[in-house]
Amino acid sequence: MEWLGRCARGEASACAELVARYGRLVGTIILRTLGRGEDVEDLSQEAFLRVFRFLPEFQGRARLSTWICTVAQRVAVDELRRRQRSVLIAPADEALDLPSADDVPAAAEQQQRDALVRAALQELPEKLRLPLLYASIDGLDYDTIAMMLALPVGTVKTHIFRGKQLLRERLAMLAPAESRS
Amino acid sequence: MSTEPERDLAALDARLAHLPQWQPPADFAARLAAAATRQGLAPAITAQPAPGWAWRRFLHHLPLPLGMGLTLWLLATLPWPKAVSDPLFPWIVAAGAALTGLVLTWRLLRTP
Repeated sequence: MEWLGRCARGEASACAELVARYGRLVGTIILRTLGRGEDVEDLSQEAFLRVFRFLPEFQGRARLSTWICTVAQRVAVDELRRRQRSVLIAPADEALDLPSADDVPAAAEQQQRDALVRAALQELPEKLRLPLLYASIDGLDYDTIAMMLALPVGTVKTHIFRGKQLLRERLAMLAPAESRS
Repeated sequence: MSTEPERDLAALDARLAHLPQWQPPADFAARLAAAATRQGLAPAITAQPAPGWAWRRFLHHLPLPLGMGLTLWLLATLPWPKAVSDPLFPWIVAAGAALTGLVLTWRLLRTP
């Protein structure tokens, strides 16, 4: 972790190493939180600038990755609050405005399923949606998600379980035949 | 043998895992590091060498036991009926609340 100290002192190569290690994770957290691909690069940049700026304050009480994920989540939620509405990837109407299952080729069918999932996720309350989305990101465990959301681990697990139940119900409502496939 | 709800949840997990992940552009790390350097990004707090971090952590938590000790001492020793009726009492309470607010605000500002 010697490079971390160099990064805290503002050394460019060490900062680049930190970004290379955690860039994808930070961007994915922001993408999942906002639900839109636009602005993810700018917000990831903002998150890392905050990380660089506050790195000397990092005291090692949590893992570095957990701390960085928490910073990314705060940046994303700040943006979400700024927009005052959470939209996931595509608005629900747009997501559902797809060709019917009868006239789409198999490749596009998968896209339609993904769009349905996104539309159903959008209808979930934020307190269930965010833990559920974070749990689906590689490299994020329950402890990290709990730290990011400032919730007890048990509450996070409950929210994820409840979120999955609700999501399944929403999917069944949006596409009864689809959800069974 | 898995039940139907279990199969549904497994299918749901697979769908969630299918959600897009962000792929940083190839030169993202280099551009970001360069931007940080270009902006002359100064750390918000002066960097401490690793051995100092344990000491800082101790100092960070010190106000809590100190405050609790002071409160207990005041509760035990002050002649409360007389202190409460003192004209200075509301000012002391207000000053204490303001100081607490300032400390908490300062700590909040130092979180990323």
